[in-house]
Amino acid sequence: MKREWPKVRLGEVLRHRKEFVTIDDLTTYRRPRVQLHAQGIVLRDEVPGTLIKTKQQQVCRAGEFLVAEIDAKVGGFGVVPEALDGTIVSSHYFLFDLDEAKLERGFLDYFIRTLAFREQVEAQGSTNYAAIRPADVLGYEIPLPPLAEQRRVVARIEELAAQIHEACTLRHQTAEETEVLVASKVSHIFGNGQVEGWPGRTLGDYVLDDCYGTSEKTSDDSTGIPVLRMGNIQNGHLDLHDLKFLHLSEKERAKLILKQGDILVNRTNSADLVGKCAVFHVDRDFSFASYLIRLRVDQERAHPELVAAYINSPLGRAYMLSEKRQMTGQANVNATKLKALPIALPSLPEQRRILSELDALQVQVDAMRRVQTETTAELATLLPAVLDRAFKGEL
Amino acid sequence: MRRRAKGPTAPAPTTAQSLGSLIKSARDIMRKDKGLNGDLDRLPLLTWIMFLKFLDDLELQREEEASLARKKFRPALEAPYRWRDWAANPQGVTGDELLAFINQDETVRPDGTRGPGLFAYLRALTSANGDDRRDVIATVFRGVDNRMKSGYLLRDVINKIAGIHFTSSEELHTLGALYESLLREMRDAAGDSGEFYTPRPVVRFMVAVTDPRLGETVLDPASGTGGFLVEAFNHLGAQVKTVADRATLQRRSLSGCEPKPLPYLLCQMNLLLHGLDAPEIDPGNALRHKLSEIGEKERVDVIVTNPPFGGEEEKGVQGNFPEDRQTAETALLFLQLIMRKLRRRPTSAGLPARAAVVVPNGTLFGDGVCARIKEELLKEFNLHTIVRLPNGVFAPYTSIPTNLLFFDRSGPTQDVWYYEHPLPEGRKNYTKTTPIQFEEFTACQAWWTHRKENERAWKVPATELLASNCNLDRKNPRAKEDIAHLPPEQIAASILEKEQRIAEIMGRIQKLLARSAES
Repeated sequence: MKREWPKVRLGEVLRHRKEFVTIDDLTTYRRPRVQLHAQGIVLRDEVPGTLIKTKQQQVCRAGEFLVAEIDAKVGGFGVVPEALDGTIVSSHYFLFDLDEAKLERGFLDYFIRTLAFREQVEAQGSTNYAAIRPADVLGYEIPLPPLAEQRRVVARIEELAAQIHEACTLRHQTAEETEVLVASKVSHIFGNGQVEGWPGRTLGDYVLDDCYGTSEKTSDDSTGIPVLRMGNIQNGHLDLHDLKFLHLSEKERAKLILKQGDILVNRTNSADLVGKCAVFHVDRDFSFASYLIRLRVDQERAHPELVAAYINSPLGRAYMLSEKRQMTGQANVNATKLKALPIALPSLPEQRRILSELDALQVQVDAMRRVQTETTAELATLLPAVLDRAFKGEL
Repeated sequence: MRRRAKGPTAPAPTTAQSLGSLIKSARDIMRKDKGLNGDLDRLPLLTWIMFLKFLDDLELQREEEASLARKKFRPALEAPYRWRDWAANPQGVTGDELLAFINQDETVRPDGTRGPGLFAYLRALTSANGDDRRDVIATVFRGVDNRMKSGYLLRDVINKIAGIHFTSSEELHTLGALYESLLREMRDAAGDSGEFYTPRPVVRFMVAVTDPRLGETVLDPASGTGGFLVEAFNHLGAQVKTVADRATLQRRSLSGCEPKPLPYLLCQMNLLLHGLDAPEIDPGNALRHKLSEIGEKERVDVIVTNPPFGGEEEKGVQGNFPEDRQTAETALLFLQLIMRKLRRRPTSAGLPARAAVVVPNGTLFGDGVCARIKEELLKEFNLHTIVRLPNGVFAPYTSIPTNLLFFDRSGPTQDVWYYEHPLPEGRKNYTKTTPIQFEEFTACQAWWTHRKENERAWKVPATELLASNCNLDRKNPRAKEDIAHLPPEQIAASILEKEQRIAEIMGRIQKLLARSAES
């Protein structure tokens, strides 16, 4: 049932409090961060007074409405939580005292997250001038039911918000799990391989030829041959955007032109990415850069796709993590280490069967991911919708 | 006028505020000079000027004390090289004349006579007259050059620094804090200089749990800018009760070692500003002595340090180590030095001599020479704790994960306790702009004295570590397992279960919304 609530200007329930303190060099101060899109206020950092160059700052009190002068139009405002009482902000923020006899903190905190409020802020001033003034804030309108009604509404919203939050958290976890499902399957197929009696070898046994890529300087001159670099390997696939080019001599061509079925492995990267790989299967001349190793496997005995899936699986990752060399900076895996990777492969027909099984799984996982993405987006709009309803007096 | 009413003019009181703005305006002046590039050049310049003013303030005070006691006073510097002779007068020598006096080997000095220039004079000082400070001064100035191109701007900077009173303990305290923040900014300005700077929260934590007692000797063989020594000085300072205690702290407690001229200068200044009158910093390489020749006399009670990682030492230095312990990895050479340098007998406080050392991950899993050193550490020392720090604690200098080793002379090791320092909720790593905070060590400090296994702390018997070729790189057994290592069936089941719960929650939300529509 719809209730009619009076609308009042914020100036009737808020007071702009403009008090500055002088920063002492020897005291440590906490500073808040007002997150954009009305996502609340969190702790930004703790800094010694010496590092704060502007010596005049304002002290925030819990429950106050804090507005960032420049960011307000993108939702840079919030209610100061208890934990951030006593934090300091510069003169580019405005602090407003609440008249708690008329306005409940939580009621304001939820109201400022509504579209109705955000629109009022965005409508202020010219489009090209980002900042707002304290007087603007005091002019915004808020529906103001009696305190008891405000508390009831806040309690209702909290109940729903908790449910929505739980659903979002779960969805976040399932999305992560969905992401690793196929890789985990690969790991377990190979883990069971020994049980199945697949002959245990090293990757090197299947490699006919390996070499490092070119370290020639590449350019944007697209008359040359495109050169794949480590950034072109994304999640086990080749990403052919953002290419660089190179003119190769005839002699180099033989060595550096990729053939279909070649596996490209990244030999230098950060520790969690080193060793990532992808199979090349483009019907066009491509070369590759020196941070990549090209492996050409014997396709009579090993299916490149399966080998690449194995290298990219948790088992392959674990091997790279234990064999990488790193003192400072980038992690490295050389061709020798790479070829020493233990791998057990079944017969070629069996390999094909496994790949088709993995493909089938991938199709299902992709389908699931699409639905998940859609519902995740819907979940994100649920709380704003609930808030909208609440402040129309319909909750 | 109102100003008159305030009475006779006392020296202008310098507050934290005015000192801060004084330093700031000195830096602003330096910014105008063409010869200086960035904070890496400006801070040393500011430091040597401060150093000379500091020295003169101290000498003036000592001279007065000596004359009251009717004793003869022997100054470290002679006229006309003292601050009061050439710098104190704001209208004094300036421009090219000033540059010539400071930079040239021989010049016309401000008093009109010919003689060596300021730096030439300072570098040639020796302790022949029995004053150790002259050696320190000479070492400091051998490592610095005047990079400023304009004598007029230099005069302006000197006039600013003249406003600091280094004899006021309150001012010193403030300056110490200011100086530390300048050092930190210098680290931020240039990646390389990060090697001189250990994040202060890590230093504080290491000193707090190692807990040096007054009367014990504390050493940092890789002092850098002196962070560990300053922290140890403050820690010991809190225990001072009598005049004799004060003397012990000043004369017999702290020593360091720093072979690079720039950090040597910064370290001297840092300690002076924190109130240590005569910092005992060895300007040579800590690794230059033959390890086997270090005896009980050279040993100390407490070592806290962050040795350089990965750097290469010259072959000659490696020759100082036993043949089967020679390596180019400096962290390992320092580790051996530290082990050798710990006093064998209990200290004056009745505690075993102890050390806290920052090491890279590589040291934990390294084999060969590294494993032999770790074997000795386990068999001869009590390696009681390893604190594992996450990525980025030392950003931007290095992003690799680091560890804090804590060991003492009460060996052999029974169990090694591991403590995995967690990142704050929701963070993936520490960065330059969001560094580690001291408060984050509170949980570890509480655990330190009441040790129990928990999701962050675990214990491994030394026998197990020795059996695994001294691989100390042990993962947390209770760490949340990476989901990718779970069987796919389990992951699929988990997704299904959660999606069903999402469906249930949606059902509840629907009901809640329906209820409000009815009411």
